Amino acid sequence: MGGERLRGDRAAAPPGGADEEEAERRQRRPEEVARPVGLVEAEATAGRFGPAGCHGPARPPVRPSEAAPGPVPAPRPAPGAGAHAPVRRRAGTAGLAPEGGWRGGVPGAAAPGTGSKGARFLRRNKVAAMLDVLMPVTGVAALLLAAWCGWAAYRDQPTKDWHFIGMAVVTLLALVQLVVGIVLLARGEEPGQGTTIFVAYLLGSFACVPAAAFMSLAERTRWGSVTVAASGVVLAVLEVRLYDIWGG
Amino acid sequence: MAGTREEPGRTRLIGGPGLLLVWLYGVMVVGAVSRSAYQIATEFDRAPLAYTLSAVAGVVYGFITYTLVRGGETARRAALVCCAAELVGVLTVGTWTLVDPSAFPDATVWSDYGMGYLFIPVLLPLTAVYWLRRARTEQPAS
Repeated sequence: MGGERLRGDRAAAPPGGADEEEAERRQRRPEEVARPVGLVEAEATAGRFGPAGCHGPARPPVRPSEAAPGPVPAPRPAPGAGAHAPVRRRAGTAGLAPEGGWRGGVPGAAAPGTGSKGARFLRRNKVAAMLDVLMPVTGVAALLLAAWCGWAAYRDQPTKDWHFIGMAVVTLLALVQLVVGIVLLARGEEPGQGTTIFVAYLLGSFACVPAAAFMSLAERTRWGSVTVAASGVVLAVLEVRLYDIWGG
Repeated sequence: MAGTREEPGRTRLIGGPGLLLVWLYGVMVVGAVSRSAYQIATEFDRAPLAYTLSAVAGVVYGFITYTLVRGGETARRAALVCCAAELVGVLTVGTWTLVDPSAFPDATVWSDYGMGYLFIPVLLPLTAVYWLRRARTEQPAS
């Protein structure tokens, strides 16, 4: 395998000179890896560098999807150590790795309370988890609102006070989501598909329902209800997209 | 509201189903314009044709929204023409993306007949044309 050859080369190489540079370059390589898109890929990326201490890719870069059908071999080095630490850390800050350490990793290695760094990591993950919950909740609430207003339209009724309270609740959820999203960005998190798109969708999902609500205020027929129902469906779609954008 | 309704000689196009149309067109304006603006600003070289088409779609949507909100016979006719153009555009670009995917490294708003937008781009002009034609037949009565 290429990995063994690389390791052999390194062992045989005399210290200093061009080989030193080469070794340093390989050491840095994990940092140059593009941000992993998911837990599986992050693991595979880390595994690609072989066990800690072996610098440079053991195999040509393959995404798990390309490597199908065979399983991607992913050795699990101790968390916080070795050449793959940067890759794993990035997966962690993206909320991809579970809190408390790597999946199946050494128990207690990155447990909460092992210093301020670990505590900060956990706290950050909690905010990220909040967004993970808010997105589906807002989406489902939007669909419920759509069904409710759709029912009103079916019965040939305009939107009434209770409907507007419902719209306010959904809008509030979207507002909280907007704030949480901005807090995460301010903490240095980076959405998978880019900050600009993420913010645009956050703003869009916040404005979506209120805009329809104001329009239905002016239209006191069933069509006001239909419009609000449509806004609920659109918001649900926006939430799905937002989920993709955040997760990468 | 009363002011709009009592205005003589100007067909109100955003009443009833028109309201839903305006809202959906508004969504498409925001979607298409912001998307194309972002993509043209950041990665125009990747798929110039696709992003330009998205921008054109955004402009068309913007104009239709404006005419619907404005109301009146001239606006109604202009909106009809634009909706027809929009429909032709969706069908052309949709077919184009299916026949020659290599010309589109990235999707446009109208790719695959607007599949990425729940087919709203292809359903919207059909509904709008239907609504705008009905608005004319109703006008003499009101």
